Amino acid sequence: MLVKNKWKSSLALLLAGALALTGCASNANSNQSNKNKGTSMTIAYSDGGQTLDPAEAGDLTSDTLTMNAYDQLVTYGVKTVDGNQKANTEDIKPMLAKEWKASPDGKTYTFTLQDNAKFHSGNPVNAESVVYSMDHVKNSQNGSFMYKMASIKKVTAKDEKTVVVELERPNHLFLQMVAMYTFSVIDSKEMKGKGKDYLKTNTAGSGPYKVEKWDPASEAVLTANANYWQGAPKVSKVTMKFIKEPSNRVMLLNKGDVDLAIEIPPKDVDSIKQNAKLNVTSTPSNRILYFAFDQKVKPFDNVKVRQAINYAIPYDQLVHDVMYDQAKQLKSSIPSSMPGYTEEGFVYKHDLNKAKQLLKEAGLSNGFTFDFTLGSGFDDWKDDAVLIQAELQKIGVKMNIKPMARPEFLTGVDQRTLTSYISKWTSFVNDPGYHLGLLLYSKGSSNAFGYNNPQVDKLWEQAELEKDQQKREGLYKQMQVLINADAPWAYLYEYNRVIGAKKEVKGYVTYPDECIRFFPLSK
Amino acid sequence: MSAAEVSLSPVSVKNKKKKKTFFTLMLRNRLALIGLFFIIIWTLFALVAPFIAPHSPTETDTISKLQGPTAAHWLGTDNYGRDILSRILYGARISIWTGLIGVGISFLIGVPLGAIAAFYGGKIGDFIMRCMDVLLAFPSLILAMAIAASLGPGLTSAMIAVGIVGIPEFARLMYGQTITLKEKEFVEASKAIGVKDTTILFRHIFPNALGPILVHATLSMGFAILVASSLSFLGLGIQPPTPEWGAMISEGREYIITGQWWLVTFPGLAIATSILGFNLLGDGLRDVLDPRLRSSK
Repeated sequence: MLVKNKWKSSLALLLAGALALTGCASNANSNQSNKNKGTSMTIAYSDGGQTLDPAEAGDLTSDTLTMNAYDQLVTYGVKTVDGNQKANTEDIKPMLAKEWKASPDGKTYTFTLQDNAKFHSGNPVNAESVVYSMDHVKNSQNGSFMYKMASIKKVTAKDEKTVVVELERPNHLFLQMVAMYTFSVIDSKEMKGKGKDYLKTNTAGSGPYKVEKWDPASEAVLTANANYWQGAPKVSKVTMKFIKEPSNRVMLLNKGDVDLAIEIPPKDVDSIKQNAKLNVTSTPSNRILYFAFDQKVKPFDNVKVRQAINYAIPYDQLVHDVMYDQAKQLKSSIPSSMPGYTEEGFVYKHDLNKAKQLLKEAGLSNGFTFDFTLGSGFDDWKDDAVLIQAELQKIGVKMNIKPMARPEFLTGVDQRTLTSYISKWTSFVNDPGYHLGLLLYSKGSSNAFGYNNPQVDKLWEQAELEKDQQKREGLYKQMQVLINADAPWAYLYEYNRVIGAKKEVKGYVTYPDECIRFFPLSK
Repeated sequence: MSAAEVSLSPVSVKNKKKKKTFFTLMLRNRLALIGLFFIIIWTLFALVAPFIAPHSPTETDTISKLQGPTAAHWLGTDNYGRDILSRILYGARISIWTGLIGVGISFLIGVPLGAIAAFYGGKIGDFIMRCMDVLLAFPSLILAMAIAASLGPGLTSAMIAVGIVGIPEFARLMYGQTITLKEKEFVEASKAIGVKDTTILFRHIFPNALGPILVHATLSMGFAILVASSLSFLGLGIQPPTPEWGAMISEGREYIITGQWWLVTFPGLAIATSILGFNLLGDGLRDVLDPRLRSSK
């Protein structure tokens, strides 16, 4: 009896507590929305992110969080193209470094830091922090590669506000790379006594926003850094809502529950355009999509087979029916917005007879069967795969589509266990040296398909040492022609980056790293 | 008149009576008949799909994509321009096949396990039944997802997942039946005259436990189709472009907000009617086969 009574009373207590809580919560909400009216912003993202550590970040949400919580030494300039603001990566602007000087041999850079820049903790941004941050990148798992790519040899603090960076060799991409979130400047004083893992879930930066809450399953809340050295941000609170389903993001945007939504599915662009309260920004991006084959696996070791597949791709269907024209056909191994881009040598078009003939020449007139791995997470990949599968069937090639969850897929790509797959690539540095060096140079860390053409390698190495921009571009053009003939991939398309936002949202700038900088946003 | 004759004759009379009442009772049960009707329809569709489907289920034609129901495409087309009616007809093959194989696995493993656990009892029985409890402790869909994910996506792994998830239910049902049956006089009598254990299990216990098991198997068919569709919906089932109902809904769901309702509605109806069919028939069978329920009516 006693037990029963106890049960009842605790239940009653629980109920009362729940009621009180819900009451409080709704009050709190209404208060907050009144107070922050006009200055808070909600943005719908697709993924919740992996880390807050700038040197380890590698997905769009993690990148965006670190980009806004930290500052870098330098940043990119902004230009206006077709009425949209876009980053100009060749135009390097000051950020935490107010000025810098390169030695005549191009191997030493001396940065002078801003006088008034402070971290969130109140500590001043000093040379020691920069040295600490560069070391952090060097010793990190993901960033260490960028460190090598930037050819940094040694970083030293000359005095409180002067940093000297010595390079292994002159690197025309050095400044462009230092502007990336990977090279964010970390508060070394704040980090004292804290382990490296502290940065995974905490930030110690000087950026315009502080990460107040980050729950990868639901949302992240960023509050403005009122003492930001460039002035307080106009939006005092940014909430990043993590919503996996694209249709849900579209719905929330249409209902006005979010101010901005990223990764809008192409098929929904027209419906959003019809909403008078919303704006759609669809801008060409650096993100390319390709169909890759492992060239060490038969029959893809035969260039004729790879070319045959290139002739079987229904290019127009992919761009028009899958992407609703929010993309454009990719016609080289580098995106068309990169300097040195050329379509020379790209002879492929949808021509099944030609494809059949090439298969015949390769001794495979009866076709063949191969496994294709479909990574999850992107609806258009599946649509592309199904349409390509139907075309290949017509030339006697059977493509078995094996769906795979994204983490497994990424591991498979890394460990080179997949025969063929579709994958995207975004080069954060808008330069063919960076892009081709990672993807198609035989020693490139992301050359997961075993492409190896000694001529291409030689040209790439030559271009790395070439100081003259024009000559360098010439070399990259030669590389592209050779690559086009080798057909290491079937090129699919270049994505547009599609963002939907309320009309009153201003200040959105497109960057090659696709991160939104919240600082210039307003509404 | 010997003792044997006396005891046998009433049984045979009873059997005849039971047979008669079984069919009359089934015919009187309208819901069960509706269920049977759905099952027959879908089985027929599955069998003759290649002959009656107006189009190829996998042929893409992007020019006529996302068309609503028309004369050429009765149930419309999907985002690749494939005919939804044809895909649903072919999909019936996959759903019913998955259901049969899945329930078959559950039945063939679960029933013997339950029977052995109850008949022998002791440590073996405890061990088997605790293992079943462990399986039951997981929500069935989560367990199916885990199994399907570890086996890799594909129709076979979906069938195996559906099968494994169903095992404990069959085992427990058979366990309960065997526990009661093994105390019955005819089993004790068989034991007393030295009949082998396997013979007792196969000849005496199994046929007498068949009724409830059959009911459960029928109900499980519906459940198996649902789990298989759910797995496909979650991307753990079949591979594209195989026409599977769950996968069709998964592909079509992105188009609900843009107004292309036919992509999800028709496969949804297919799943609903087939499951309803098996459930109604299962309920009807239970009403007829379970004497306790019958007498209470």
